[in-house]
Amino acid sequence: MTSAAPTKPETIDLPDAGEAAEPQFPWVVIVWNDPINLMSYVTYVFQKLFGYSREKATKLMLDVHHRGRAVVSAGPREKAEMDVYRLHAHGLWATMTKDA
Amino acid sequence: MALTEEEGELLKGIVREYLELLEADREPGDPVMARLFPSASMDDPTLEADFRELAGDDLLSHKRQTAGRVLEYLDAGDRRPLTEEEQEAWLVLLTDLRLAMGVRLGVTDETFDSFPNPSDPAQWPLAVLHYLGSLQESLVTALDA
Repeated sequence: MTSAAPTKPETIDLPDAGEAAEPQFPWVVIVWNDPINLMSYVTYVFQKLFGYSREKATKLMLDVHHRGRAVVSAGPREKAEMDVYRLHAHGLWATMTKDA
Repeated sequence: MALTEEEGELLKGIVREYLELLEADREPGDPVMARLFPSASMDDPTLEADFRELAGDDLLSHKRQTAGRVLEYLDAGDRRPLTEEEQEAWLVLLTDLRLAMGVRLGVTDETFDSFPNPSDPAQWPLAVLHYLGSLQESLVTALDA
């Protein structure tokens, strides 16, 4: 991600080993970092789509930015599909996975 | 949307190109289309295929409609303030425009570390990318308020 003003290059840490999904939320939705999308925009999308507070949305965005990816939601398969679709419709790259 | 005439013409051109891109037959492995219609699964080809079938057409028509609305506004030479819904449409479209340009230009994490030199014609596409980013930034600020 980027901001509208030039910033120093950041080192991207390796992703976490994986956030464990709870049994009643077997699917997780992951958003992946890209070098084009604005940090402010990504934060805005997380607030808009998931109703997260600005603080939580910012934290998730920074996780994506620094670690390369972040889990943004969890739930049943249909919800995960919908979340992936909505994220794609907002230009974010999201995938879903069944986390063991 | 407070745009100069030049900005309006620039945007119209870019949006029209984008619409043509959406209409065109997709070359397999086109990185721009791969980014505009990204995968839904990293590890499950069946899930990916299901998702494509379920959502592919919807996403395409959603993108077409969004671009069409913005182009209408631009073609009408409209300068009135955007409604919130229109601002969101612009925001989403600008994202796609930047993604398409960014992929074509091979943008990396380091690309935005400095501003391009606007008097160097070779850097003009990058300058446009920055410009679209600043438009997007101001829309986010407006919607966040």
